[in-house]
Amino acid sequence: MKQFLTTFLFLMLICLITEAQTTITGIVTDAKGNPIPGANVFIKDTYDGTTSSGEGKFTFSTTETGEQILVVSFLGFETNEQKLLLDKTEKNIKIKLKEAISELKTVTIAAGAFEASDEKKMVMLRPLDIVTTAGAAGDIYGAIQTLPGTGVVGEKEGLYVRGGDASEAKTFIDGLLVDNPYFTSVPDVPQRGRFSPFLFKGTSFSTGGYSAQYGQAMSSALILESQDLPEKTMTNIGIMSVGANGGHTKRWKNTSVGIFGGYTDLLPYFKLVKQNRDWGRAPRSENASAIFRHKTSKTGMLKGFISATWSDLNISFPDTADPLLVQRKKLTLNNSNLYSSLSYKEIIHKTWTLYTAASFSINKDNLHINELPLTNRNSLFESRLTLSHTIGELSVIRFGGEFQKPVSENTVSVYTSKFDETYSSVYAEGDIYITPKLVSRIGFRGENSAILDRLNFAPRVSLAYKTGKFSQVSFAYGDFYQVPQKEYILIYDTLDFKFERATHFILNYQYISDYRTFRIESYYKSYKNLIRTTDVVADNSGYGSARGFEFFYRDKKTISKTDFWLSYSFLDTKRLYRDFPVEAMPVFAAKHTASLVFKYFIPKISLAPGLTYVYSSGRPYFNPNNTQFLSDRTKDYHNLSINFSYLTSIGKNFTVLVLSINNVLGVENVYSYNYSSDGSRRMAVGPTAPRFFFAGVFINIGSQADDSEKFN
Amino acid sequence: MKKSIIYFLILLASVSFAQDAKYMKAMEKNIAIIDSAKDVSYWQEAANAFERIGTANSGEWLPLYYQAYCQVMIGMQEKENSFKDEHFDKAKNLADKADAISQDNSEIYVLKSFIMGMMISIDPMNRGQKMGMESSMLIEKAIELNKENPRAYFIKGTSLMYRPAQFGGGKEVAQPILESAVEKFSTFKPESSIMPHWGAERAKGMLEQCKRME
Repeated sequence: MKQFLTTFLFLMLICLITEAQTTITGIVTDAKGNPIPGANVFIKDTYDGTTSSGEGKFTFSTTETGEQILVVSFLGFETNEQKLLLDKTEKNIKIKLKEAISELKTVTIAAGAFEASDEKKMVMLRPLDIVTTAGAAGDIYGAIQTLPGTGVVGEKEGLYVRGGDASEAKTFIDGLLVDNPYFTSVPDVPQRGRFSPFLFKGTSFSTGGYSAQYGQAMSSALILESQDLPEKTMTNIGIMSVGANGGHTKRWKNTSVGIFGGYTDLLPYFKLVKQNRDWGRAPRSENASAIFRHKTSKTGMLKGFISATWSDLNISFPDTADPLLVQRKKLTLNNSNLYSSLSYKEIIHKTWTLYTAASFSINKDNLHINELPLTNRNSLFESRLTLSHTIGELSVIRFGGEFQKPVSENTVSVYTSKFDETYSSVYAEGDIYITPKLVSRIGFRGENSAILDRLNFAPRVSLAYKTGKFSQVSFAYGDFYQVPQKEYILIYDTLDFKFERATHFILNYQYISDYRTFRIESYYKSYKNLIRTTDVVADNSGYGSARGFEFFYRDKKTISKTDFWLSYSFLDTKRLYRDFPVEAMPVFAAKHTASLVFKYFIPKISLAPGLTYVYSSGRPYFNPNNTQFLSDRTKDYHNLSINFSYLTSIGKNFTVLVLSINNVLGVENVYSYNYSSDGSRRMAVGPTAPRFFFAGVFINIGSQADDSEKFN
Repeated sequence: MKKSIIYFLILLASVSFAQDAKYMKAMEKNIAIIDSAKDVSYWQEAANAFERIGTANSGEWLPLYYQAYCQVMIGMQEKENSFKDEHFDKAKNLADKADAISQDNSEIYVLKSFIMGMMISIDPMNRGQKMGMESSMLIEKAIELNKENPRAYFIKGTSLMYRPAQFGGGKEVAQPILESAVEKFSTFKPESSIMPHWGAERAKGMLEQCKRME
């Protein structure tokens, strides 16, 4: 026993002797050699260590011996670990820390894209910005039209992007093409989008150069991403000057079901406010929809959506066949529309993600023009499957395929024509980060159209380089094909058509900091194989081009409690297509477009006033008396819209009161002119009313966060 | 032989006791630094020390808890939002790790709610609705786990004070809660010298500020 005790004491003594220390000194810098103060420098699994000083220097001593690991860590940098032999001699060490990869320090592919997202940090807009833009009246497309690159075409719905017409701009929800994103078109009456902006958590509006995942859009893709599981159970009620809507969403732990209904009737409003159109029956619509969400696992999500809408109206307008423009044409429309979709996303293996989705939609228009009956019945079945594979921390490759079956039947009186297409595509694309500051996206898309019996192959390339903490430059190039509009294929069904094609070149610079955003983009777009028609034949001999530049500036800081953004677009475009006799600037294009969106918030009285001003230089219109085709211009367009949102509560329920007035100044805008067939008389096409007033109350029941039901 | 086993056990016990003492001493020293921190460098120094203590004692929740707390305090003193976010994200990450070690811990829930409240403050317009709900649920859970935790009432009262009345916040609702926070702080005794005990002074200040609100 004694022996044991002696050994023990001896060992203790050794411990005390070896308590002699090793001193470690050095400096911590970033890759460029700038000192990093505040870094944590220590021996792994011990308390021995220190914090680097203002000059990045450190010194500390340790009683540890032998081979140990020296750890250096600092927020925003990758932790550095290195082996170190502690042998009581002083150590002097230089440590270079590598910047950690983070969203803020990583370049993003930005050419052509305007993104609104809550989840990402470096974006131009938030989804809420879209909903609260004055003049947009809660319509996604209305808000998008305040962004650079879009034209002001007041007489018709749709996005007219960089000299492209509305049929070249497509809307995608969760990757799936939406066949009828707007209410059915009526001559000279613009229509709203069918889908509420509240359905989406992310909006990406691309004015060109977009991903190989999307096709059949020569000028623009509006990519909408639907909401995930809602936060909690809640009920919404909206009472508006034009109708009412309501919904209830029930949330379980991993599942939610929501049902919604709405009724809109413009009749009472039209009785109150005089209209510039002759309405027999004011537009009226009913909508019912349901949303289903289910979290299938920690990473899996199943989404279902179904929406049905019925609408009708009756309008008369002067018949251009009458030289005196006195006789009237009467149009009656009954529309029913169904849209349904199902999608599933899951990480199937560590670095592999599967996304698959399918949709079915059907749209039926029963029209009567005077007594002549017309019916249009369009349906679209679509499915898509994408696999993505992440490489390292940033790079990702995607590939997949898409299948679409659009069928369209048009009946005029007793004559029916049918358009039955089978379209399929495959795509592969890689976002390859050469460094966190330099990324390249190279993609390919191959498409097959059964109705054309043709294949195409479209390359897409983007490059982006981060030039500073908040700034980056990007470049994009791509080919974009489109099957000609079905009207032409139906009329000239014996002819052999090709795909229409656009090629984009885009150069972009952007600066996004917390409070200021600046973006400038220039582009060149060339069109080939556009459809050209003469009296008897049609072919793909049309062509055109568009070039221009745009700028966008957003500032949340300079004026207190104020957020504003300014956009300007310059467009120079010409084309020879459809029935154009010569190359000319099309009717939907304007040389200069500018807008200012201004939002203010007064917290004391919870009032948020906002205004939007839109300017557009005159657009071409067709004048049969002018021998120079499309050389006339309308006068400039001005529109000032204002809105007020007042946040309050009714009982315990969060409530928003909204009042908005479109074209407050009552400027008499002219979009175009309709000429009588002999050219002797003309009629200006302007807005449906000088001003549009809107008032609404939106109540959120159960939106207050004072219970902890999610945890129980 | 028997005796030598006993000696060995005594030796082992004394070694682990020494380790415990070392842990306590290190924690106490750094908690004292944050209790009297004058500027951000003190918080950074303590955050680093808690990181070292945490890596050497991977089963303990307190070093992670305090490191997270330091990160929030550093983030609050940053000027640029993107840097604030970086600190708050780190704090959240650390608090989640602490939560995994010590589940159903009222103090950790308070901290998580506090972190989320700071994240909201960066962009209340866009983050308020979704994260506000989450932050409230966290603080309710903290109170449910320990009805006597003064920090839970302090954080709840503070977040209600800054929340607009339309969303169920405002002076009227916040004041009684801040009052009960101050009252609970006056009788609060931490279980040990290293258990969380921050907030008493700031709760008083917040109550005064609340009373002055219109």
